[in-house]
Amino acid sequence: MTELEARVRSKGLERAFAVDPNAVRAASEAAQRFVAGLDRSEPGVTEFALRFEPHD
Amino acid sequence: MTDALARLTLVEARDAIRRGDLCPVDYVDALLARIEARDHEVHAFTQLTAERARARAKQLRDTRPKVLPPLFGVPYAVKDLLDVEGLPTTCQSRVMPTTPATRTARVVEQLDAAGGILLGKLTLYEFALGGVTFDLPWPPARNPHNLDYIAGSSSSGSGAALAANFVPLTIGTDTGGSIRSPATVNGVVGLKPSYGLVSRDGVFPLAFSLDTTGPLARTVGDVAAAMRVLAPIQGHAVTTPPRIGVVRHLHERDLVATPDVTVAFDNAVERLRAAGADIVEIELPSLQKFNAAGWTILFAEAYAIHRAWLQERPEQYGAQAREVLLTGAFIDSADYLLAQQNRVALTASVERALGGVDMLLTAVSALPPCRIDDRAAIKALLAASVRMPFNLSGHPALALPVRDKSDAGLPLGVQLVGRHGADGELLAAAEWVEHALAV
Repeated sequence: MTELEARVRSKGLERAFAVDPNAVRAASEAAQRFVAGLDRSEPGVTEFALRFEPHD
Repeated sequence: MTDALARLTLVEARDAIRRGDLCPVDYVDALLARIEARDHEVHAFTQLTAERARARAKQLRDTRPKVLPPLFGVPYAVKDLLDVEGLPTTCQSRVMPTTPATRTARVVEQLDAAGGILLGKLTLYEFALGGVTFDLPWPPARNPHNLDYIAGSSSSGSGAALAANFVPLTIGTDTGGSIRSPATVNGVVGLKPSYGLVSRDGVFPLAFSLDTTGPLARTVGDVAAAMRVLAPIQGHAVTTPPRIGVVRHLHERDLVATPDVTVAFDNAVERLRAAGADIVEIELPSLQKFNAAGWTILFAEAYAIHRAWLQERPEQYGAQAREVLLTGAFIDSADYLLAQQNRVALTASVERALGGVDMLLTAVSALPPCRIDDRAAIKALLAASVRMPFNLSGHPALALPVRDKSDAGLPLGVQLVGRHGADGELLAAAEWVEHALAV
């Protein structure tokens, strides 16, 4: 089983993979591209979490 | 006569009805005749509510109050993502039930209470994300300026219906640019309001922390007239030239715009300068940073809504919507939260940029409208968007046509960005810009 197939199984997307494996593969690659562009120079999400006010 | 009525702006039609020079019934009949004659090639409507609209127009004519509500007798249409009691909300998808909605979106209630007349529901990308696709029961909208070209992303019917003179006011939604794109490529005006200003109640969500509902029309004044019904906005006519922060790097360095887009943008800046505007150059963080955070958030939130359907009946989606919506399955929660953290700093950067100017001026896209049958060009056009920064930051952003056309003769536009919550002030300043660009 490939790493992608394992992730598909863990997410319950076997049916989508059976319908269109190329779409699932493309979606996985697109997600990697977008998150790779995130700015990781800030200190994790600690500051964000400390400032979060759910009742604002 | 029918064509002359169809070309009226919202304000012109509203005022003619107020004066008694135009009967709402005649106006609705003229628009319906035009739609029935031409929409078979434009495909702006998914559902036309002709009999309902005629009955409503007759009711308004026969019970004309002494004090007329602000949009008395003005026809409008809404993206088929908004609930209207008695009509199915298709979202342009086979996934959605075909049973009629049992409630009405707040925005539709507001427009009806203001005297509006619903003409129907408008074409979109599947679930506002699926792209131009031919594998659904509804064909994609085409650009009335040239039917071989796209009508913009996702509120495509909302832009095409205006350019085709089917209706003077439409409602779209904008999560990553989907009001401003169809406004631009169809040569009309579209406002993505400040996040949270206009109700999203009864609007099928795409990504809840980015979604906005907003108006498209043929002039800034028309958009302002609609916004005064949809939200408590304030803004006074601008009589002195504004100070405008021009943000060039989004389309000149972060993306590389085509020459026709660059020339149109530069000419617009020079016209504003000649009209007396104080032009200053502004730098924001790179477009790539805005896009990485914005699209990570969008895909993650959209997948959360569609997860069960994608697991149980993925075959019911069109191929493009299925692929795009699956993207969120591969974004983990830590990255989603990192994107939200990035968002705080990026929003602050836009806020700082607006500190010394009345508005920002940017391109809407680095590329001109493309052909509807060119999949590679459509993909490139989506990647050339300069709109996500202001979905991410929540600031109001308005797309406005400019005088120059693309090399293929299609409309081009610019984007004006105002302070958060100051949509009325942005619209007032945009009227000054609209006038200056028309001279």
